[in-house]
Amino acid sequence: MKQPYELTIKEAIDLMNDGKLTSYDLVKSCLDRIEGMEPTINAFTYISKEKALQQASQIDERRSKGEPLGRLAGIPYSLKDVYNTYEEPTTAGSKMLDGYISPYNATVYEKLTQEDAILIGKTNCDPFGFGSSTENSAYGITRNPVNTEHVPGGSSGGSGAAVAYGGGLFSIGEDTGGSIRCPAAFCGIYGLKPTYGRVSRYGAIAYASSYDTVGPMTKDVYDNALVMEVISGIDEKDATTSPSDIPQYTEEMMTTIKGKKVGYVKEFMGEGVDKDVKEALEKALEKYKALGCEIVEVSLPSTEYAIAAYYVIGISEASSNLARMDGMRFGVEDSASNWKEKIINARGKGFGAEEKRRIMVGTYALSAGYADKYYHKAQAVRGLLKQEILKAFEKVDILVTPTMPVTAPKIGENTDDPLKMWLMDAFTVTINPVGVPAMSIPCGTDSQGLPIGMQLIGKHFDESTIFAFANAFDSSKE
Amino acid sequence: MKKNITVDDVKKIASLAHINVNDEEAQKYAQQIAAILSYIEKLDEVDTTGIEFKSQTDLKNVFREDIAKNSLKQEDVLKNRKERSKGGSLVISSVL
Repeated sequence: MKQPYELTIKEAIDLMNDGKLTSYDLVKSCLDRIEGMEPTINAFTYISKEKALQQASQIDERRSKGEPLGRLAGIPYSLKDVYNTYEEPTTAGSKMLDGYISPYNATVYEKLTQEDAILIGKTNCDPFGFGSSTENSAYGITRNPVNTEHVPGGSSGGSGAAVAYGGGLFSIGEDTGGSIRCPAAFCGIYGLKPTYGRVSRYGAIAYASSYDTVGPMTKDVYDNALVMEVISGIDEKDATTSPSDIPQYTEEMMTTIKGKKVGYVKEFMGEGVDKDVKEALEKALEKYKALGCEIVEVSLPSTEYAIAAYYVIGISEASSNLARMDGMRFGVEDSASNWKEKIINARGKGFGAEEKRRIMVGTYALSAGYADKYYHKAQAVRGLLKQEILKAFEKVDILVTPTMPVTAPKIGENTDDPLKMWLMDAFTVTINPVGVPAMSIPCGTDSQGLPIGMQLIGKHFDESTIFAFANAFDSSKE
Repeated sequence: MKKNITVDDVKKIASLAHINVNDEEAQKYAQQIAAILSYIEKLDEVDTTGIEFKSQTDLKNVFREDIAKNSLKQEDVLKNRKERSKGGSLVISSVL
């Protein structure tokens, strides 16, 4: 029999409804698992043990009295350490926010709390989302539970590792250029970057505001769809949230994909893609064909420039967003008496190398004389990229690509070459500037046994089709 | 094209970004930033005549009624600097 920490959300809910499992035992099982694994993995920056157990007991009591409960009642989960929760620490993986205590709640946390989910902790990440390996965190590296010599991906690497080893049944990541999908691929789990505006970002520490999205990282498709039903929707505190209806994802994921058209992007199957990754993808496409889909080749020529455009805009926005980290009202403080020195010193001490690098390049790209050459040019390329992707969606229902061109690199393999690390994100960073949803699902392992992720890219606000394709793929496995 | 970024350039950018960077760091960043900028130059190859980016989705400007309501409590907002808050305000060194 499975240990409680190994369960999916649905399995745990069914067992609790049948009186075969209490939330207390479930939460305790996850906390024990965390205690056993953390010395090796380091997925968490903060663990809320007492509060979580107390909440679990309360939910068990309410359940025994027959009181109405939320849709995620008694389910333990983690938040990437970029979400503010009242009276609790939020570091964003940066020393800059060491000691910071949040004065308010993120909307995603309030929505999950309303449905009686239980926060057990916050997970490690690259500072402010800057990275694809969680090696940049000021709170130590996180290791991949599948193979601890390897990185878990990033920037939501702690979330990926925690879900993979059972430190909570799901996690909420944050995806600006692949930060949910990359760790999902490397850790062998399911991670969705929703459509821009589908889920409120209020209370999430910003990286690049025109890219940032909030999404679930789970052990299967159903759980992902379920969490999306809970966290989606309009929020007056985030003006970019969409007023469109929230679909019943858990039902729509059952829709047949027979007769649908699958686009495979030829630019994402070429040079630089590992042999094992390519083979896994080809097999997946074969499977979709066997399931009655038509496979169509799609070309997105501008994707060659996507990484450059993505980074110029992303770090420009980051340099502006991170201006608020001045050490005056929260976070690292400096003792200089002159106000300007105080700010400069605090930022010098608080920011790590990756943060400084991105802020400086962003500042440069926005500075007088260079904004046209870099920032505005990148926005135009972004427009071209959007045109190409929307045009592709006139022909196909979904695009299927590898999530990452490689499987999880070894720890330390890329840390000396920031540019090389950036180039690894080619297939994920293309998506955020356009705003469409994309999900990484496991589609095999390489010769070393490391997970391979497949990226399913859908039309704006069409997460349902992504879930249907993910579900069809998994159902045909069994 | 290889972009040339000097240590002085890095120091100037760092000062614009309000970040303290020492000489050793500046050396390292000069090389790394030059490599990144050279890579970004790639964008020059793209013909973007007449192309504009407006927004990710079709969402237009969003307005709401201007109604006064409670926001965060002052004591909560100031609790990260308890030692420097006084009468609901934050005490800082003089700017002028």
